[in-house]
Amino acid sequence: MENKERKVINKRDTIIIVLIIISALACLFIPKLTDRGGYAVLKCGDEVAARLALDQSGDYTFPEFEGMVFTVADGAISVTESSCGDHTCIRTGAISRSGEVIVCVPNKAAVTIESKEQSDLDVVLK
Amino acid sequence: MIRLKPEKVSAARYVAVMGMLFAATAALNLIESILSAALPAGMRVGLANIVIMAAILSINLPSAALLVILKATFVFLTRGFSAGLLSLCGGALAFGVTALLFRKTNSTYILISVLGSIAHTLGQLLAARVILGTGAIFAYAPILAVSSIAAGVCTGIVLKAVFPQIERVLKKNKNIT
Repeated sequence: MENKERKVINKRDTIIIVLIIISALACLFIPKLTDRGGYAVLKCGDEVAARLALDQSGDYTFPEFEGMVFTVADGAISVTESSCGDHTCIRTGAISRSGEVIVCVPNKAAVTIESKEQSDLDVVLK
Repeated sequence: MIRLKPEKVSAARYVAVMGMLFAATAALNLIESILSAALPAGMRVGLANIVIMAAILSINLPSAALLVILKATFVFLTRGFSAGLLSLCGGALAFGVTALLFRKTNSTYILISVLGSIAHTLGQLLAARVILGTGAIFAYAPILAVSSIAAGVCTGIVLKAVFPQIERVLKKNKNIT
């Protein structure tokens, strides 16, 4: 198509963009309504490294995640120290609801939340 | 053999414009570092898409693809391997989507750059999925989509203002070749 005829915005495209925004916001807020989870699942790549009960406060370190410190407090988990360069994982803050994640790409670490019912426990660290 | 330079443009002018565009991607990359600080997992909103889309519109597809690769190389050198891979995957997917939409549809500038920006984020998520080996990162998709849309609206407006100027610089004074 000739670019001279192309408009900056029109009615049809505004509607498309608004629909995308609405669906994104819906996906964003639905997890906020879910129950607080019972366990934090720490994954190193595909491997589950540990499950931490969120009612057990304390600092945790693991050999899989060198230089990382995970802190459980007030029913939420956060990364408080990390050897990665950008510290995105620390800035993510504390998470406590299923659907929330903390990810550290350089350390291949991912923390997700599982609710009390759905966790078929392999290991529970207390 | 892929021809990078359009025939009507002198070699010197082409090199100068491409150098300028590459410098613009590097500069936008820096601004983006500040703007993207709040985004999770090292994701970028993709401001450099302006340059890629301008190259698609005012030069040609191979030159735009070259800029995507140059940008990823620059990121690789300055911010390391995983950031470089994220940049390459995001850039390549955004390039594909915007090129297709500009060539095949009559969509408006803002819609194309919004979809390009979303494609840029999706490409980065897929790359991060490969590096991480887990799909957990896709939980960030909604928040990233919202920031992509905001960035896409901005890049669309800037693109409309900027690309005719690049075209003008590239095409004028054909007699001084």
